[in-house]
Amino acid sequence: MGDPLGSADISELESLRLRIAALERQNAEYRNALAALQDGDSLWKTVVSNAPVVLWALDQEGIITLTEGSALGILGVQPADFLGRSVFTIYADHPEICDDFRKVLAGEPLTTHRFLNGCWFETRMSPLFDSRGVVTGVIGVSTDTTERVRAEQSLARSELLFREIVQNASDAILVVDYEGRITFANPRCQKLFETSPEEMIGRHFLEFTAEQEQPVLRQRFERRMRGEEVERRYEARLRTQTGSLRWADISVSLLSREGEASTLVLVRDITQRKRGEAKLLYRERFEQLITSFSTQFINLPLDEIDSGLRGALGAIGAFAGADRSYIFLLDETGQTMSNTHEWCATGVAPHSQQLQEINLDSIPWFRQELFSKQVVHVPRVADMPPEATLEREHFAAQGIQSLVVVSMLIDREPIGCVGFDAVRTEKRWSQDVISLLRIVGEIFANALARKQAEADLQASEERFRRLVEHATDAFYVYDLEGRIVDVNQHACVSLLYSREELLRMSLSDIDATMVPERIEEMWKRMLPGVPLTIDGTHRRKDGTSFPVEMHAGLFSLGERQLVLALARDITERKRQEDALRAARDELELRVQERTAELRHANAELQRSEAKWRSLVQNAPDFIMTVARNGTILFVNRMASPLAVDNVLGRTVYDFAPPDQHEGIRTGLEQVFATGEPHDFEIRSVGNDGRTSWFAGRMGAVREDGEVTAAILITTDITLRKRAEEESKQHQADLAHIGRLSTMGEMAAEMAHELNQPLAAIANYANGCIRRLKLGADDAETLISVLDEVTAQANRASRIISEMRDFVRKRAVVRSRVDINQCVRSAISLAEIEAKKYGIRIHAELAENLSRVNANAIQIEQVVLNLLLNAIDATQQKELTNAEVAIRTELESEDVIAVAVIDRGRGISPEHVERIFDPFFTTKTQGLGMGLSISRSIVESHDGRLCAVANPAGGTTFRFTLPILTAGPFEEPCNEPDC
Amino acid sequence: MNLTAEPTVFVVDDDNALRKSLCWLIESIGLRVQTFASAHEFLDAYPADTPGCLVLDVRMPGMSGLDLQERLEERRITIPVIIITGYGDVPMAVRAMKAGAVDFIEKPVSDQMLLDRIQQAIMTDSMHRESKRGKSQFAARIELLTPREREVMDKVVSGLSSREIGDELGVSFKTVEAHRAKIMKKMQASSVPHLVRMALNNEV
Repeated sequence: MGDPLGSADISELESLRLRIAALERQNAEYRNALAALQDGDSLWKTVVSNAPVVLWALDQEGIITLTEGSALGILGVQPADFLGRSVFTIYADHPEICDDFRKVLAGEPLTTHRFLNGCWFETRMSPLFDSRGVVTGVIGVSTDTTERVRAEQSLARSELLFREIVQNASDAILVVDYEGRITFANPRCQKLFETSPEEMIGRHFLEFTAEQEQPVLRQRFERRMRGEEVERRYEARLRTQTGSLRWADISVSLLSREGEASTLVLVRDITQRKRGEAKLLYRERFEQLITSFSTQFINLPLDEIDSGLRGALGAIGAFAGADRSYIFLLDETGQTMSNTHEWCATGVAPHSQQLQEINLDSIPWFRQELFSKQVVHVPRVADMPPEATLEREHFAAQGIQSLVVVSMLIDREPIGCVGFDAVRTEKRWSQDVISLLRIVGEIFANALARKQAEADLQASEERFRRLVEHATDAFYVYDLEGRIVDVNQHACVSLLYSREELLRMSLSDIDATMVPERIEEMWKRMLPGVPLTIDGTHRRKDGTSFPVEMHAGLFSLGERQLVLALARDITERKRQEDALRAARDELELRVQERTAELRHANAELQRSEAKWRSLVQNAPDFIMTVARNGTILFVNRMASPLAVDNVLGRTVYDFAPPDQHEGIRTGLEQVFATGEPHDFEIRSVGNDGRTSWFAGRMGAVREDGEVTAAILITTDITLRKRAEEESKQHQADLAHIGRLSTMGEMAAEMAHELNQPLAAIANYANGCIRRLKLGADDAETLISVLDEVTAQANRASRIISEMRDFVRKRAVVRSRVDINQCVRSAISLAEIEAKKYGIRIHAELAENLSRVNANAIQIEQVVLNLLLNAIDATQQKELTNAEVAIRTELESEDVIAVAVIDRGRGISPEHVERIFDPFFTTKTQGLGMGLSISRSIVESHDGRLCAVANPAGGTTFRFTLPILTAGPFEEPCNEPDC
Repeated sequence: MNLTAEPTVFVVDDDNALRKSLCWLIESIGLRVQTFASAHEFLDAYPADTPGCLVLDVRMPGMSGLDLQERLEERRITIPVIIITGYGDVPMAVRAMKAGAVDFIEKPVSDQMLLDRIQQAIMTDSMHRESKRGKSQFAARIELLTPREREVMDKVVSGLSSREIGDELGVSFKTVEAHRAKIMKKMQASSVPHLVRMALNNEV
């Protein structure tokens, strides 16, 4: 199809042409008519009246004298409207028309063409002359040329338009005559034909066509000229002035011009479009290739992949116009690359053989380019950059002029590359080709990957198969009815059937517990991917059976649903389980027994604990446990208003006087360090100022051999201490009294006491005398010394008077005395001494002894003296289980005897009598007064004291006292122990 | 050895008055006295090797007089001890004397006797010291002699003449003379009799 404007032009031109022809004919007619008019009278009237004209005449004044013609009718005007009227009046508004009339009236024939009242009139006016040559009037003919004018105008416009169109057409427009010569060429032809339109005129149109086309075009033209129906629209190749070929879309139409046949030719340059079409075709082929490869390689069986790749390489190589196309693949390490697939165009040498295991290090530039940009495009090997020298040499050696290579990636990792070589000529590949390579490379890569994956899978499958076959458990594959589909080696061995036999059997044949209902229920429970554990019993060919544990799972093989089951012989395990169960039962029994024992023991322990607790709680002593730092952990009770709770957590140091702290600390340290108990005594002064004494034992509390606390058992010995003090005092008193009970002793005592001050007086006095003799005259010193003398004299007299008082006071007082009581008092005093030496005093005191008239203290003193002697004697002997005995008894109805028996060193026979002598002693210390005083006291009570050596060692001292008194009571008893 | 020190009488008695009066008495003959109320005090305070004597009451609380004697022996304190006692008995006296007491006096004590005894004791003490000093001095001097000189000295002291000594020892008369000169110098003897006396007194 040509462009719309072109075809419209041609039809309009056609009609215009026709109209122009018609108009010309019309004009010719008019001229004929007018000629006829001028010839005849009557003719013209008829003619006039029929002619679409207006015939009119004017007189010399311009008054219309005649109007005729059908034109009047056309105008819609009646002759009467004009007759007799002056044209100057009628056309007063049109000065130019008036001027026309005047001119004619002046004798000038005129032809005018005026527009009047919407019509065009052509008027021919002639003046009428009389014989004189004076204008007598005008005769004129007006023709309505409105149509004609319009047509002319229209034509003119059309012509103008047409000209414009032609001149400015984007198509080349030619008019070719009947001989084929160009009679017209529009300016566009310049561009298309590369020559000026003027230059083209006169030349044959075929000169501007491609050689190959000429025969066909010539024929077509001749046929058209002959009037045959020929294609009016076709494509053809044209040739420009310069010889280049253009594709053109040609539209031809016949013109009839002045009787001659002409051809109007519209030529459109479609070279671009043709090229586009070629490109499109190329593109289609491209896509086709890709699509075909895609589908091809997806479904290609693995063993055909390699040949498929080679075929594909050929297709794309050919398509891209390459001399060689190839695939390189990287090895596993990624270090070397090998040419695995190759296609060569005919005549090009294959290279793949040499290009195996190329180390990428030898082509570093290539590697860098390929792996960073994914493409290496070398349009000209010779132009490769200096850093690619190695590669350039490689390629040049191989005769490669250009190459393009694209990397192949799987999951963004390069596996190789695909590319083209150009060997014969240089080639620059377009982006399209590179894209093609990339896409194709992807397809290849996927295919190769798939091939690899398949290979891997097969290998894995093979491994798995072997695994299953040689597994140490039995594998079975069942269908959903329980029929055995496959077994492994172990299954056969364990059941003693051959493989073939087993494949003919089903699950229920080998396991009696697997009845159809159970099988069905099991399979129902199985979900794909979720294994089921089932217990069963397999029966061997020989009839024996064994327990199994089966793990079964559902899987699909193609469209079949199958069950894969692993059966493990659990005979051994069952045995172990039973053994374990038995052991557990046994253990439970033992545990129960043990628990009962423990419960019993615990009860015992609790009883015992309760006993100890009660003991501790009720002990008179204070029992406390203390930590190393002195914190009180436990105390059984407290003496004072403090509650036990207030005490726990505080330290012993809070309760002991500060001067005792060191001792306590040392003691605790010792206990914790050595674990050895030791005794202690603590003195504390209470808030009331009274001193209390505590004695105790500090021991270690151990846990797992470690000393964790110290236990203190403390007794309040305040009373005892006081008693001790008192007894000491008492003893001292007794001793003192002992010495004083006889006059002799008293004198001795007094003498001694007096000696001191007297000696002092003598010394002082003598000293003074000597000094004075030597001439001392220091009166002051002498006086002070003499004062001292006086003082001593006073002291002496004081001693004497004290003595007297004492003796007077201590006049012998007698009362009814319970001897046993005296003995007891004496024992308690003597025990202090006895304990020191670990000697026990054993008393056997007769009951219900009558009282004796005696001085209790004196008797006490005697007993004490004897006991002390006995203790002394025993202590010297160093006996174990040393013991001193004292006995009271009724010797006769009026005599009481007291005996002190010791097993000590005894008295030698020669001393036995002498021992009672004053100042006799075998002791190293002491005055030896004790026994003589004792005897004196006893005798003064009318009793007897004597000593007897014991046959078994030691001595017995024995004294007697009469019950009946020799004298009256003299004074009431003052002693508390009367 | 504290020769230059004055002899001091140390009095130990628990009775205040007696102690003071004794001090007064002893001082009246111009002797230095130091008194102590107990044996402990004395032991703590006694300046070592002070010349003098010790007057001691036998019966004291704490350490008795007899115990103190034992202590003195332990410590090798050699001043003479005079024991005063209020009442004495034979065993006690024996014990005291055995323990080295110089005297054992019973109260009441005659002042004259006491003072005489004290002076005697002091004298004894100083004699002992003297002798000890002499002995040690002598011993120190002897040390200075060479073995040969020692030999020679022994012979001189036994009365031999130089010639005789030379014959016995097999050396010349002159040699012996030389030795003798050396000996006299070293022993600080002014004459042979002096030397002999020295040797006799300090029999080493």
